[in-house]
Amino acid sequence: MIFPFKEFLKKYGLEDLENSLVLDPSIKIEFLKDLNKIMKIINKIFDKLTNISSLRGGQILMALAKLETLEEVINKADIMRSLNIDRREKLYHAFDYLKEQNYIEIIEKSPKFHIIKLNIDNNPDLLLFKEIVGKYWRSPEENKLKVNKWRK
Amino acid sequence: MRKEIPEEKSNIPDSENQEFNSFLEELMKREFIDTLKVRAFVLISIILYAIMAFYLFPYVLSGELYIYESTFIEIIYISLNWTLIIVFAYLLFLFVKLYFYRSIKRFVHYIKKDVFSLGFTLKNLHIGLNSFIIINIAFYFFCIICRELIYSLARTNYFFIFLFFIIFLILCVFLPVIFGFYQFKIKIPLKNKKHLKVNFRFKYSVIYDEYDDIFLYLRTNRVCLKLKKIKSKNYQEISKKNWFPQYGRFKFLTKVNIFHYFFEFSTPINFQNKILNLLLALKDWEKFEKN
Repeated sequence: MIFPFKEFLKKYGLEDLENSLVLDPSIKIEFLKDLNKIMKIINKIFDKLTNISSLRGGQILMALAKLETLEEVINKADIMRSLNIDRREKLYHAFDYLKEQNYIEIIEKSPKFHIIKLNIDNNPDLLLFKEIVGKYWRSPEENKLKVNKWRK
Repeated sequence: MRKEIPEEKSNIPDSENQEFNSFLEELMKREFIDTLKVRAFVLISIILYAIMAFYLFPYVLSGELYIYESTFIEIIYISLNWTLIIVFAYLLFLFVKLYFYRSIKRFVHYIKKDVFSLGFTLKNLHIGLNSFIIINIAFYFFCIICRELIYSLARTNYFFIFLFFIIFLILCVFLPVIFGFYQFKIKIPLKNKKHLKVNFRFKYSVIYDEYDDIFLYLRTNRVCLKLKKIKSKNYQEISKKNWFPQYGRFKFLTKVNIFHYFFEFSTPINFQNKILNLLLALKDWEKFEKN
């Protein structure tokens, strides 16, 4: 699926400031479809890039963004489950790094219960990230359910 | 700052503990079966080499080509000698294997856990024992068939006995370990006669005396023939959609092969995600085939 952004702008004349943009219902559907395609590609790029790094910080951000669209209170175990990771030790460094970088907030309600949130106040761009990931990304937990039929 | 591990461990829900315990149980069962296999092999090899000693050893000792009329005590004595040799060979095999696989074993446990947490199992883990058994049996039969030649050589010079022993060590001890090392791969069986194969490449770091880079090459079984144009086109589409690499571990072999495969490259960190990617691609392929 090759869909350059320039082609999208050209198709609907979005850079043409002389003519107004008129979208008929049929064109509107197509426009939305194309927009969805672009968002899916962006989401795929996020997914692939977060898998490159040896630190799992990117994956944690993705899981957190996804979970925040579904639930209000999220803790480390939720993220661990979403990423299908068996041991919490694998995520320690990533949590520390993200906290140091102010990408996430960790609210310690009790010594054993920590709520984690995306730090959107400090990084407003994360709002768009959260929306894209929340809508288009499938977590390993969801994928695991999808591949159930291959199990012996 | 890093959190204290004991405090965090208590947070793990019971269901996860149970899952981990069942995994450990399964692991212990498998290891027990493996141990049984090893013990059985030692017994069989002792018997085989005792028989071999009956054929071979008397002639080498006497240095003359005639039928050795061995008494019961002599046969036991010779068998014991050969038993010592095979036990020594087996211990050497274990030692060499241990040296080669000292880091791999830990790594395999790590991979096993990952695969198990996805709900799949591992199979066909080649670590040289099978090669050891096969080569030893083949060597035994070779000795039986060519015994006349071996006797005549041993009769001319005792150096040949030493040479024979060296060949025995290289073929039956070192070769299985090297074979095992290069054939080291994991197979993840799936439903409908499908499977995933995982090949490894280890980069050894002299500074840390450890394998610092481990690359995993994943591959599905045959997807379709390269000659079928429509299927090939669809294969390319699915492959590009999922960002799969075009070639497997060996570029030339992939080019020469007449079948298409889905390939994936991974490191231990993102191993799970890559397996899921491949499985989802297989699902897409199945949808296409049904249509």
